[in-house]
Amino acid sequence: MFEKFSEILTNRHEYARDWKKRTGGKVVGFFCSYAPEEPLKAAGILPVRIIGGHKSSDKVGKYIAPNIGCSFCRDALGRGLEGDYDYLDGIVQGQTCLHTGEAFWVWQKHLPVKFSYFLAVPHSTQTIGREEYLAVEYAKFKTALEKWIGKEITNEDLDRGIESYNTNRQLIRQIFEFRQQDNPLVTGSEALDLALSGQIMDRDEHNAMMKEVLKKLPDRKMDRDPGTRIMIIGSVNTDREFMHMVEHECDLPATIVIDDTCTGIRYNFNDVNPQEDRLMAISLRYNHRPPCPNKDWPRRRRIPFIKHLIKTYKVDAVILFNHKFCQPHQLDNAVIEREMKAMGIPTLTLEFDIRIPIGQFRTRVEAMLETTMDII
Amino acid sequence: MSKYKTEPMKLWKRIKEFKQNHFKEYHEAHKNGRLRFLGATALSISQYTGFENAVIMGSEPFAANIAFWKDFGLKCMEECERRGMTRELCGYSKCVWGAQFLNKNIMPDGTMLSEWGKPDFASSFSLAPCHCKWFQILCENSDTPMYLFDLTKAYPYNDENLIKYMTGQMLDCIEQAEKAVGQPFIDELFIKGVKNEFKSYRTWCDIMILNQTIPAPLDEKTIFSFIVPNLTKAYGDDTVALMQELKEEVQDRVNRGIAAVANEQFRIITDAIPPWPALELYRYLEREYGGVVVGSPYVICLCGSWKFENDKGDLIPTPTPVELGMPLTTREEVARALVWYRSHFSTETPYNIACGEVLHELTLKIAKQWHADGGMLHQNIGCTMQALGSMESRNAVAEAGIPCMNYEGNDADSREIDLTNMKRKFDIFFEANNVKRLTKKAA
Repeated sequence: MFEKFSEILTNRHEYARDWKKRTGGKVVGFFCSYAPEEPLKAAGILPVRIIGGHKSSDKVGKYIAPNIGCSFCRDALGRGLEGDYDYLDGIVQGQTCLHTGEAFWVWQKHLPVKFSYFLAVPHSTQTIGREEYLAVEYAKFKTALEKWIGKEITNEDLDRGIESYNTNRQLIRQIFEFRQQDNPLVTGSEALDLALSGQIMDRDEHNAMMKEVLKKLPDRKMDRDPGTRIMIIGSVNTDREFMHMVEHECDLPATIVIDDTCTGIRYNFNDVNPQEDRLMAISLRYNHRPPCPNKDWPRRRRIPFIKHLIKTYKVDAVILFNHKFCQPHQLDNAVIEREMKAMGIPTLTLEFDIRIPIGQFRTRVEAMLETTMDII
Repeated sequence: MSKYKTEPMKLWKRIKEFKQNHFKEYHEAHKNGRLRFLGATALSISQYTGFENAVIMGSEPFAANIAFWKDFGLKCMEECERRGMTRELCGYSKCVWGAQFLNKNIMPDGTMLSEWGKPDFASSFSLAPCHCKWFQILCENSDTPMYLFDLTKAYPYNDENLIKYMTGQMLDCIEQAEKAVGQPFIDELFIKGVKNEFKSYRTWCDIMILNQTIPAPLDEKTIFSFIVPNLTKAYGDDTVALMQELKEEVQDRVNRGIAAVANEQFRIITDAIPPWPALELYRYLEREYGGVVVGSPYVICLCGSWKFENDKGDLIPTPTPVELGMPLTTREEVARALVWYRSHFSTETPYNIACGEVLHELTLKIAKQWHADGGMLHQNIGCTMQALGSMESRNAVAEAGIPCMNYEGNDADSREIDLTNMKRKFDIFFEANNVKRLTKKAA
């Protein structure tokens, strides 16, 4: 049912090249999910999230030190330096962490593209004046885009962009809701491929595919023991091998029923509420979306959000996945672990690098599953 | 026979006393009926001068002092790790969290204190994202009221939208602080404090420019001691006077050809916070190779405000709002001017805040303007923000024909500092660049 999403995700570069050929449009890569995709869509551009390939590249070390740079960014930059993203016409960074920022600067300098833009998204999404501030930054971004593409982006264009993305997020959430069932009708691996493929596809095409899925999904029969219901908490999860291992290769059954990641529900949780000032509407959406740790201060909004998901998706255990050298998530993890312990939720922390030691991870996940199943 | 004349700095002892006294004033504030404010030094701590009884401490010097006393620093690190904080996290954060967890601290002269120094109000800026997470955790654990500023970007992108956004936060912070400490904010004191900060910072720029002289009148290890007044008390009349005296003394050394290092033969730039627990490496460079560290983006920008001339040219001091005739008569005007001035290359803004784009240019400008023969850039594992851009800075300097290397260290965690290996790397670097060793190498 989800094979097509997986196939496109696997062949994402071919998809983007083909899209360019079919439409004659431009493709812009973005590093972080705080880059606003709606104005790009409104400009007729295909926004593509830049992700790694879980492959080493000896070209990265000259620019980002392997002993401090986060594994995801080194991997993503490595794919760029190896030429995987040679079809990009532009790049955009919506400011979040230092690591994605540095990957952006290095890309801009050493992989020149026709359009590059660093969008100064507020570090905090709680400060006074941040919504107005971001709306003004969006206006500057829109002007830069217009200059590049050589035409005005009208309110009607923005409405189309907003509509397409709102629909996309709503459809993803509808499909994710089937994971709340006692025997979830969507596995974590499938959910990841579904959501992540959206971030590299034309959303209208993605929407059409999801609508087809939704016609059949209620009648789907799952021939598997759901086992322990797991939640994944972390940053940008692109590790399909890990997801597959947890759900299909462990000696004990398990299903990843939900996540708090920016390739999952965190990114798709809220919509743009239309208002006259379109850019303010978009600003409100990005300011109010469930935050990543970088943007979660002074109050902690992540903890209540995680607790809400645990309750809604009936989570038995949590895996905190942390990219090597991702300090923002490390800063939150100790607090999350403490909260989980207070709730009686077993927690396993795993550190992910560009390549993961899948055998070791399997042993550790199985050890956690044993504790949740009361068999030791 | 030495190449140049040298002599100790006359102000050395007074500046050391200044630091000791300021820390004493902070720790004894409550005993003396005063308020403690702890604030990240990026974009100023002078906003608290409007509180008549305030003793204001910069959180970075507060942390660096713990890091310098490495035995206590190590205890702080271990206490954090015992509570689930990982080894890779910001070294300064772990110094201060550790002090809070242990409820102990240490004075600049090494005297142990039986209380960590809980502030009455704390604030930080999103200089690095973890700068605010640092204070979030600190204030949650110590039940301290806080204000966390969002500094989204800085020079060369400190435009009207940013100035308006930051000024709004500063005014809000003042109101929140008034409520938290229950004392009125006096605008006249604030205006005076900020004007003093402009003077102290401007003088610092002049002092740094004097260090472009050959031989260098100051070496970076000595400069580290001189940054403290501006970092902790730039708003004070005494700091303004001290910086002026320092400038006059450095000017006098320049006039008389007094060198910081008598055998100066290789001028070096660094880039980041040094490995505080291993400052002896600076003396190693001087003693063994006549290598004098003349500056870095860190030490030059930390207590000054800089910009590129005509946006592309040399690094020059940012004219102060007073010099530019900006209106400075109301709280709003002064907050706005302070935000504008400090959102240039000031404190550590070049390392992040959308300036990653220009950090390598800044480093290269410094290498050229300070007449560096080489660069030794610290890949500071204790500070992601500084370490991330270090590789590109090295590339820029090296590609401009100035030999440059990175060395790995940590600003706070002595366990991550391999002094033997560092020295070996420096030896190879000097040898590769035909710098004559001044001492006989130990067998």
